[in-house]
Amino acid sequence: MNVCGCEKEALVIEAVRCGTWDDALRTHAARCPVCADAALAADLLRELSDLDNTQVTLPNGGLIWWKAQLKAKRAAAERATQPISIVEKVFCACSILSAIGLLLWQWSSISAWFALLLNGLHMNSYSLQHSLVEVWEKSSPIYILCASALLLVFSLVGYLVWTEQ
Amino acid sequence: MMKEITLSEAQLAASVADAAEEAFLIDEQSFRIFYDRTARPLWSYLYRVSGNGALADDLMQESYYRLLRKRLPEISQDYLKNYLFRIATNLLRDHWRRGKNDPVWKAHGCGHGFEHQTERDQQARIPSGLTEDSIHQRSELQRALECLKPRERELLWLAYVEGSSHREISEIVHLKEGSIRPLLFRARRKLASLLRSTGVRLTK
Repeated sequence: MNVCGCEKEALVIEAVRCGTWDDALRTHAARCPVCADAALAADLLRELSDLDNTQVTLPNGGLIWWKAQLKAKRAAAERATQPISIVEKVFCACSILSAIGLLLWQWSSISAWFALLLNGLHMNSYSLQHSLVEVWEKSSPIYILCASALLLVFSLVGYLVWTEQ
Repeated sequence: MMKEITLSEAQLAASVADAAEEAFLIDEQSFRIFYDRTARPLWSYLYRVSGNGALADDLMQESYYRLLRKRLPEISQDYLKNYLFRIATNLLRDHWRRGKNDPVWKAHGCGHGFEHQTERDQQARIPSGLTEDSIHQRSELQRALECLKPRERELLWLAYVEGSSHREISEIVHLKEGSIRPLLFRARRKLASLLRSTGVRLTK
């Protein structure tokens, strides 16, 4: 017998697991501290295991198989749609970045439009109409195109977000 | 003329193709046989190491799923069983690692990986039809087990209930084969002294 074990330890554990005790082994287990500990621990755990075997009801194999298949299909579908969702996210990010870029680039013109519009709001309806016409006349076609494109992009992003939800 | 395909059709086709590609490791019939042989030992292992029946249920199902998705070099029953226990052990450790930052887990865990006992767990611990002495003995046994570290419970369960060899245990718990013997020795001595201090004796 060494400090960490005894050559008969495996036999003792097997005897506890299978109930195949003989007198010699029982006498040895009573004398040897390693085998006594092993027998006690193995006996406790075997008892707990027996308890689980009799008391616990588990789902049948068919159900586990079906759940695993379902999960695999869901994972496959998720993987298949992953590139699409990535493109959607990239598109949204690009749209927002271009909108911010355009705002910074044309900030002076945009603030001038707003100033004109705000002026018009403070006046009567005739003046508002007049100031809108003024904005239209003062804007170059490229600005109008950009504003329309922005509107279009925002509506598209809004639609995508809405359909996603 | 080319047929127009909508996005959802394309997604469906892709997912079906992927699912077809990812055939499981074994067929349903073999799985059922394997499950019948291993489900109960695996559940017991997970339950006795974690102390939580609901967690044992979840991790058991996840372990089978992960095993089925694996590409393994061998599909013998013993090899699959050891691999299944290895997956379950990893899942259990992942669960604990995640739970360490969870205040609810901290409140219920006793510091040794044993979790909050549900009503079902209590029932499994103390079944009906037992004498008062048996009930006392079993609750002492359970308490002693709870005082061990999770790794000690893993080692003891695998060695003494599953009858796994030191090499198999080392593969399951990711330790060197040479360190299993002293670790097992210490765990066993600790458990035995805890049991002796409460007056628990061998049942046979």
